[in-house]
Amino acid sequence: MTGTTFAPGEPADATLVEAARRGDLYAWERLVRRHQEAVHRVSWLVVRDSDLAEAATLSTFVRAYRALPSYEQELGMLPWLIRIAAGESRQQRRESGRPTRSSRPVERDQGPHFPATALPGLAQAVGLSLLERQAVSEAFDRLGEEDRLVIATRYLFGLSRSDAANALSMASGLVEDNLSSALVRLRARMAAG
Amino acid sequence: MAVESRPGSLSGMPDDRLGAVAVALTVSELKLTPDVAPLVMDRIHRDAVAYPEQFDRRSIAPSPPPPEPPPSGRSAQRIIGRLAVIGVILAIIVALVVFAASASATAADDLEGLRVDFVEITSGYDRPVLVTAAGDDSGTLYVVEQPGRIWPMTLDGLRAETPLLDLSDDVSASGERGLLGLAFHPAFAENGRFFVDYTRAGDGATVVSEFVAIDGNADRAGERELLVIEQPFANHNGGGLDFDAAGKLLVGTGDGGSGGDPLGSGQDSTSLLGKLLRLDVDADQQPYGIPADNGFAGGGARPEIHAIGLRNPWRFSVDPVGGHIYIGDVGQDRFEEVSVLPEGAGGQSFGWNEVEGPACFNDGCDLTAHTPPALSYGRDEGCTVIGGHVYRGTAQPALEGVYIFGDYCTGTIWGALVDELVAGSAVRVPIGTIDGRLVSFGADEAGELYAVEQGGRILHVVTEAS
Repeated sequence: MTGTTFAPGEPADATLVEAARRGDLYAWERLVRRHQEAVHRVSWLVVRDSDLAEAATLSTFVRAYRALPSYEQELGMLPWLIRIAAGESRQQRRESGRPTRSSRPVERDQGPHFPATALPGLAQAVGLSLLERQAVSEAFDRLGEEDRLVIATRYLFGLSRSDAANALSMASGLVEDNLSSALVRLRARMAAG
Repeated sequence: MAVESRPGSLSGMPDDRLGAVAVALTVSELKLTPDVAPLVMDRIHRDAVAYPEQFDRRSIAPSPPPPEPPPSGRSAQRIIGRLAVIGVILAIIVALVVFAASASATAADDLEGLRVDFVEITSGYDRPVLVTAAGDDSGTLYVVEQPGRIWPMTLDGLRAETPLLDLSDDVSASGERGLLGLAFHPAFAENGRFFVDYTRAGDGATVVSEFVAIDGNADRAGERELLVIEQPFANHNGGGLDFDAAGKLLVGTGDGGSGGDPLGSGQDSTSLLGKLLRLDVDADQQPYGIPADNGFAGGGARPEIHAIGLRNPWRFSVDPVGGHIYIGDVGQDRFEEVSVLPEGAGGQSFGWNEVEGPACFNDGCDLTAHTPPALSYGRDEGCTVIGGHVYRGTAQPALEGVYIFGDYCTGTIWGALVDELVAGSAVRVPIGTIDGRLVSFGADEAGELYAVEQGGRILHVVTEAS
């Protein structure tokens, strides 16, 4: 799991959500800071554009705040935010008229940013050559956004099958099928080069 | 490119590992995560203003001026690491409690039965962060709004038609950013000079500037910049300004933000972040002179630094009697603190980020190398200290010599005897609770105290009728 870790003793998501529902905006701000990296990563996987991903991250948390009254705790905050982020990202892309993919992220040296936290998946890339890394990265990049998202929910965020289903707005039984299909397509694109 | 199959290569990799590698390699191109929290909270606040029927009064309050992000992964590891020394810390806390209990008799006696109340004198300001006076015998208060305006106001709450200054086009105002500080030159009545601390739109830098008021209005174009301090993160901008007893301008700066002071600014003698600065604004040198009695004027740090080791001194004040400086410094994970810098006693470290409150923040710190707080409290009693003032008015004799401060999150207001604060033996006594989000205290020319509530209200602090 990545992007949602917090220190022992920090209030749980559910506690902060209840406080935010009672009007404690500070609680919502803490939830934003807790999950903004995960939401930003989801947004970027969908739009593949730095400006759009940042805009989608912002609008995700604004929309989620407005939707708090209808949020069901058993959904889990992260799956719920991923679902909203995917929708907001698609919306941003449509409104921008930009292509699905663009160049690598723009490195900014100004403005408020936090350094990215570690990605456990990188450790599993140890032993791969540079060419292999490029091959898998390029193949992943050429997948459709649904394929990228189903892989991310399971292997980046470590969601359970039911949480992934909630995040992707699909029946729980479809998650594994879609995941398998996505990985088949990933291998096919790697082989095709 | 096609990749040949070989043992241990991609084609032989299990599905779960391949998926994890693929998404991690792609996401690893993102080196930075934008901190959208200030913008989110600003948007929500605007929604609340535009669609008030969807929000109850409490939820209209925008994001707090000194909020804290949750601990980063790095600081989380640090917390876990510090569990090993928790026994030592607990022992220190127990010792402090015992010490406090032994010293509490005086404060408890003198403050026994003291309660304060808050009388609203006006409302409707846009995210006010400060109220202060100019010392020109005009009977005027000045209310600072975070989005960039300064409004003159009579003591009974009548607002002027035009602001003293409008910086709203040039200020980045969300989260902890905005127009944050204001101080009037001691000779304002004669020279019209006043000083502001704000977050510059565009790059988010902290700017300390001088303006001159003519007939109650300052020309935006007349700005004279004294300091421009780059901010590495959006939070911990400090923002307090005040003149000390010697007529030197004090500037409180935060550690630059994020969490845990990742750049080590608080103890960095070359950085202006995480410091109390002291400037001579009447010197011949431009843009300011260095007072000869500054804490580090003789070396050891940049000469404009008067004290180091602060995290986010959101609000500090100078006691008009005696000239001591009282600093409310917002804590990281465990302690909020009030520190005292006696008149003429610069050159001290208040500890951050080696020390938080009375305890080590970094393992193995040397507590004796830093000035301990005069008061501190834990997260069970609040989350963000709002530094206060020593009451020096005459209308409420029961408050004479009482330092009054509070907490943003709980609204608790405490009193402490100023003599005990200076002696290092102070005990804080709860004397009231404010309804709403306390962000600042301020005094009028007669020494009466006012509380600023983030929802837009200015409240007179009065002793509760018994």
